[in-house]
Amino acid sequence: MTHRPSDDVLMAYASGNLAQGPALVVAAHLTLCAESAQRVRQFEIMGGVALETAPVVDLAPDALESILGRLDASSAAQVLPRGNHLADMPGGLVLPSPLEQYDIGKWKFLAPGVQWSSIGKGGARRNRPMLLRSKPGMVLPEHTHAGVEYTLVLKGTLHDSMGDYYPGDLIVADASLEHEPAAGPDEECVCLAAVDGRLQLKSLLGRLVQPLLGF
Amino acid sequence: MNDVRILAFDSFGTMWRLARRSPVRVEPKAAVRRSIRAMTEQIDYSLKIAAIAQSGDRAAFAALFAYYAPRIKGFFMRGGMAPGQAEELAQETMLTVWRKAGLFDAGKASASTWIFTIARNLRIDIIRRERYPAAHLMEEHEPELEPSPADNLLHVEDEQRVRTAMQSLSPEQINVIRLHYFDDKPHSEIARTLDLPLGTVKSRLRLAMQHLRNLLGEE
Repeated sequence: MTHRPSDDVLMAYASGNLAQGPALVVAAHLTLCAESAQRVRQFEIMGGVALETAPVVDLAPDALESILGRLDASSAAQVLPRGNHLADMPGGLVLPSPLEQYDIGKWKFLAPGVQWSSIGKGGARRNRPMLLRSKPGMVLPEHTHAGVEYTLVLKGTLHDSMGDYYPGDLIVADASLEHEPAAGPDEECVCLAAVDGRLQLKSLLGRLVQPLLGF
Repeated sequence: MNDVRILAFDSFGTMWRLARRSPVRVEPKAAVRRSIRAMTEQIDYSLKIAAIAQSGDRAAFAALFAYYAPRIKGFFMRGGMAPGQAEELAQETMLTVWRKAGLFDAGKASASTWIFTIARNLRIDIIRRERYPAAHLMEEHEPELEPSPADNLLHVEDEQRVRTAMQSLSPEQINVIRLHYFDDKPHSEIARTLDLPLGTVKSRLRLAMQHLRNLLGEE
């Protein structure tokens, strides 16, 4: 696998600071890429060490007692219900396990030869992850004109001026990069995509806030 | 449940052997000694989680609570959470440790790593009212997906490598990584906190991540 997210992205994911949509795309990528999965494991170990070395702040004196009283009432771990998947997947594509719990909408027209399907209901609409399905050779339109786009190839191939992308590859592209990938000529292509809205927020607010906060 | 126990002990044995193996790389000996001590403590806490899973051991839970609950609260507060909510969420984290102890797999993660992921996910659930899509240490696993002994070895090697790497970074580098990622502070706030120019904060963070990458091994 050649196209992996940077350590910065994986660290943001492991520490819990990646926006919801991109976090889902990265979680799906981790099920397909052992190298990235190992890196996230390592960063989570760092999280454990950060916890061990956190300042010790005492809880209320009766905290343990009150929690011991709640233990009996606490039920076993719940199993999350599976989401309702309305979009059919071409060629027997099985979606990565992190997508199982989400509702997935029907395929809808996006551009000639390209369909999209929404994932989940929470969060701001523009940051919601989506599935993209493209006929062979068709160009995927930009998801947005601002922010950072996360695109994970699930089936088929994608190609742009920067390279060729295969299932499991994750493309993290700044919208300023003018990247418009096309599906390979032989096969339908299915991708999971999301936009990081936080960064866009920074760029919008940035002009106003930058002199004060410095970012 | 006995299987869990055997698997756990097997992996602890591996952890011991690896931890005691003399360092062949360039890490300072003191750093290695400290990481061995930390990993030995982790074996003890992992056994306590296993005891909760096996027999609902309240004494084991109280011991975990005494060590972790005040640190989780401090961890949340350092990340900017109000004391009341940090207290509540620390309790919720410990309650989840009790409930999900059966899902803890000592072959996959140390006690601290596992509890960190619980705390992290709960914090996000509260802040965003959404479930963070990061549950790989929480899932029920199918028997055929049980990690092979080689996978367990990988986890233990990672644990030692990361702990030793963190001892090898300078305190300034560790601090800036912690502030930016684990406390979720923007560059500007870190600059104010550390009384450094913004550019220095950015370059220090970049160099710290580069150093970390070298220590963990480039892939």
